[in-house]
Amino acid sequence: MQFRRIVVAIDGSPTSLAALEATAELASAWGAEVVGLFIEDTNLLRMASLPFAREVGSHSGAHRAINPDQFEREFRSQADRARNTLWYVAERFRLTASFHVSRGPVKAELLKALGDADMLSMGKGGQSVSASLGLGKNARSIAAGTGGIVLLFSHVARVSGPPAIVYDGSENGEKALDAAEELAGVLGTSLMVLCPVESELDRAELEEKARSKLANRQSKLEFRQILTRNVPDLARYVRSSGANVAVLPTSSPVLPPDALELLVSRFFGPVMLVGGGAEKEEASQQ
Amino acid sequence: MATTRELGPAALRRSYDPDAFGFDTTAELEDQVDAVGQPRAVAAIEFATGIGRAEYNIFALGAPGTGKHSLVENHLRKRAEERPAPPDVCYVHNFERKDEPSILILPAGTGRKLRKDMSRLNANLRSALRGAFESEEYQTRRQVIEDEFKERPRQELQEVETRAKEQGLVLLRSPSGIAFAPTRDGEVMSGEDFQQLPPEEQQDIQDTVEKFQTEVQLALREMPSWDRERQEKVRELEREVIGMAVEDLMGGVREDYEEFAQISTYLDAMQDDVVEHARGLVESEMPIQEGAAGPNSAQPPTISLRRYHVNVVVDNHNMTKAPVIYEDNPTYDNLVGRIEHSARFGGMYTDFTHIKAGSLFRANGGYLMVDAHRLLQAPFAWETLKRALQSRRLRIESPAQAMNMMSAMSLLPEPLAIDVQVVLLGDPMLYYILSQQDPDFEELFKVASDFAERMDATEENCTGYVGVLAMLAREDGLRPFDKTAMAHLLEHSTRLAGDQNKLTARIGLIHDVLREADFWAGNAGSEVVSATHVQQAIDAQIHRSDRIRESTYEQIERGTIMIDVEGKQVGQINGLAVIAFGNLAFGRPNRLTARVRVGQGDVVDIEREVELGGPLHSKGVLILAAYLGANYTSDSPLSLSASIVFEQSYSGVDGDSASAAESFALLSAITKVPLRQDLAVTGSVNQHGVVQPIGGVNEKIEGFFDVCSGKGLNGSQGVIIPASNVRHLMLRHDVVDAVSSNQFHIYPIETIDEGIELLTGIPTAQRDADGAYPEDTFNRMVSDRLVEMAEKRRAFDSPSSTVTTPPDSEVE
Repeated sequence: MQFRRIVVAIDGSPTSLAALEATAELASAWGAEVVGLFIEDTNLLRMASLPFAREVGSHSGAHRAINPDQFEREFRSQADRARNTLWYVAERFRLTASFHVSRGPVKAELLKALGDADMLSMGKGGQSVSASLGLGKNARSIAAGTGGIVLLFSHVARVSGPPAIVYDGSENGEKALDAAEELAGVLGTSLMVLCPVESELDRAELEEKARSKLANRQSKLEFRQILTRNVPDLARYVRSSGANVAVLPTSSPVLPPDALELLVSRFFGPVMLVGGGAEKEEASQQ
Repeated sequence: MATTRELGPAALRRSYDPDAFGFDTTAELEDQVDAVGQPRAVAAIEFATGIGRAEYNIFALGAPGTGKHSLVENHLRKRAEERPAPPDVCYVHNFERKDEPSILILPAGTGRKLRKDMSRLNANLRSALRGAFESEEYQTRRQVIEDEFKERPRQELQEVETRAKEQGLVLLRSPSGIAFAPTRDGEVMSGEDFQQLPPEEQQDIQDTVEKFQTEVQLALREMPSWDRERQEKVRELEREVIGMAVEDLMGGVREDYEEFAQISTYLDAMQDDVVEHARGLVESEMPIQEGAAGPNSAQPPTISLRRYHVNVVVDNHNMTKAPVIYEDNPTYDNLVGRIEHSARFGGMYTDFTHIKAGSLFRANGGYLMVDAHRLLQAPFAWETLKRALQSRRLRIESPAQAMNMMSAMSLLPEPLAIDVQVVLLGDPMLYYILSQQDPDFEELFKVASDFAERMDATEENCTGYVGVLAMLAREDGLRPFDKTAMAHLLEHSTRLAGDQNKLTARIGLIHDVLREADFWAGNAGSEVVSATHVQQAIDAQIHRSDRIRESTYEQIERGTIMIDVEGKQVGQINGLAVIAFGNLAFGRPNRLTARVRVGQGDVVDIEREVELGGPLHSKGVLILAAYLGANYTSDSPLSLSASIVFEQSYSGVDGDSASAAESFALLSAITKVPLRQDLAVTGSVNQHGVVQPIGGVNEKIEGFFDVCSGKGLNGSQGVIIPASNVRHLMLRHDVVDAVSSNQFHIYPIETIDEGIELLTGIPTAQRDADGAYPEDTFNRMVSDRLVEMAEKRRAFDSPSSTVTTPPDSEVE
């Protein structure tokens, strides 16, 4: 797997800017092109055009009237800020970069952007509850829908390793293992392979399979057996394993959608979601 | 004519017999620990230290070098042996009022142990807290709480979103908030589409949106209270988990100090504080991370384990008795203590660990010696010391803080109850000034320990004196002094005392000679210091400071300063003055002249007229005028006008020691009888013509001797002194030798008549039965001359007078 083109969704929020910074560092190591993407959400514009359009402040809880002009102005301002930040970061990391503004529903625009790229990078959202609402779900469905890779960043943005992957031996798992090894390789760290299996025998089998898959790679592999299926416990385990970045397959039987989304929200560091190929086809039909 | 006997050499100097000491060198002597020659001062110190009451502090007054410091210190140390070691004094954090550190008073040695134990406890506390926070129990229970409260708003909003979806609405997240909009075919309905809906449906949608907005609003408004609830649950968890860990950890320390109620109370408060601030404590002790609080960070750490340190400001662990402290620099800070500050986070920071105790703290339970002069020179120090002694409490605070002049953070430490006896050391003048000017002084320093400047040269004192000198020599690592050296030192001491029966109590001056004599002995390659080296030291001391004396004598020898040392002159005599520079005093002959004429009985002191004469000198001149009138013209007015002057005197003159010489000059001027110039005179006179003692007799005699020697001794020269000064004679060996060889003479006189006979060779005699002086006596000549002048005056004053002589014309 090679990362040649990475799309970074920038909405001007602190986490999206952190995502840009961290992605630029990775792209520099990989020699990848970075595409900055700012989406003007048409759903928001439509909603603002309704005669009774109002919003509730996500921190203050205050009611206030909204209108399309207000959003248009905010979009332009945010896009300018995103563009300037991209140029600054690209100059600093000496990257090939471009910046695009698209208009449409956010999820559709992200799906479209990921279709042309090897990876989509974005922030987990701001501090507010509203910002995190549905993030895991959308990110999962984007990764699953495109069969691509979505890298989510929180405030702890720097990918400094080592990565930990939840590896189940599935096809999606193989792909995630490949991406995780790529990440460990560029970071120069070992790769922590967490095997959600019941027995030591199964773990040994998974280890053999993974080692076989990565036979020609340089990264040092560390295998650990995880017994729990409880998502909070799993999140705590990943968190306490010392991993800086979690790599999760989107179609693993041990990580059903709800569990995956929960894990995304609970893990404090960057999360890389790796979609499966079959789902990509399924999603494209939707 | 009565004959005045001159003094023999034996009367001119006191000698001490070296063989009477009973030793060859001071190496054979043991240290002299008892005070010598200061019984009054010693008794006062023993009384004050014995009575042991608060106001009975001591002022030791005496001239410099009288051994105040060593004597007081030795006595205080003896007293201190009888008293127990005072307790340690520690400052610790006050958990209720952090700016008012608490004081712990603990038995000597306990403070240091407590500090060590608390330091160890702190080191373990850090790891115990970390361990508790990292324990699986804590982590799991904490995560459960966090998950519960993280999930709660999410669930709330998800429920709202789900119900909104059922109502055909979608929840949208804008950059700044949450909004609801109706959907059509999975997309947000546009404004145009909405307008095409029937009004009732529009209203329904609008109402539904408003309902969900309100729900969201209520959910969001609950968030702060959920967060508070979460924090409280976390705190409860920490109190439980950390409390157990801390209880285990502190158990050992508690047991060790259970007998000390103060420490137990402190440990209780500390334990509560640790539990309350456990999280902050661990985080503040974490390795410094970029952007986190650290020494160079803009933000101070919230809390630190430093607050559980013990600051032992007085550590008496090695004390077995009461302290005796000498504060040689009694500034406010050194006396009381100070609160230091350190630059931190752009401001001045302090806490209880920055408290430093002063000497009053360290001397608590014992004695404090302070130089009074230095104390009074230090701003705020004297007032603070008095306040502390009055209130028996001492609080460390900076003067700036006390005067509200300090804006930086500071503290108000708990005051210490003090029990200290203070001894001020100073000169007598300072003592008397304080007694008169400071109403608090006598209340607080009730005992004066008065150090005499001289002591009787009794056998016992001489033995003790030698013992003290031997001890000082030994303490200074000097060579042994042989018995001749010691005898010579005693003679020097007697000379400094200015009395054959006294020794100077200014041991410091003799101590200097000891050290310098040792130097000269070393130069000479001698193992023992002898009288020769002592004399060499004395001579060298004089030589180092006698430039002005040499210069003065040189001017006399050259005739620039006119002094006759032979022949006779009318109305002219050699008086003697003492000039003092630092520790050197020397005698200087002065020509005194007098002239008379008919007048109204006034004797003009020219020195006074030009303000070069002091009040004592003027008094002497007035007394001699009174003597003249009463002794010679009791029946008629004194009808002369006389002037007396110190010739070639260009600086001030004071004292009455020249009044006898002035009398002789005046009588000579009246009678026109010349006076011997080979004699010099010193002594004061009273109204009855009795010659009284004066000071500096040795220097005066030696001064005239040196001048005569410079011009050449002719065998007739000498000095007339008051008889009452004979016991003060301690003349140089060369003067004594000159007297022995009849080259120089010392004449003691008791009356003016005796002096006149010596100076004129004419008998004086007393009045006969008729009240008249006999013929051919000096006094008759004076009397006749004064009568003659009175008649001239009377004739001049008479209206029928034909006398044409002006009243103030010369009558020579």
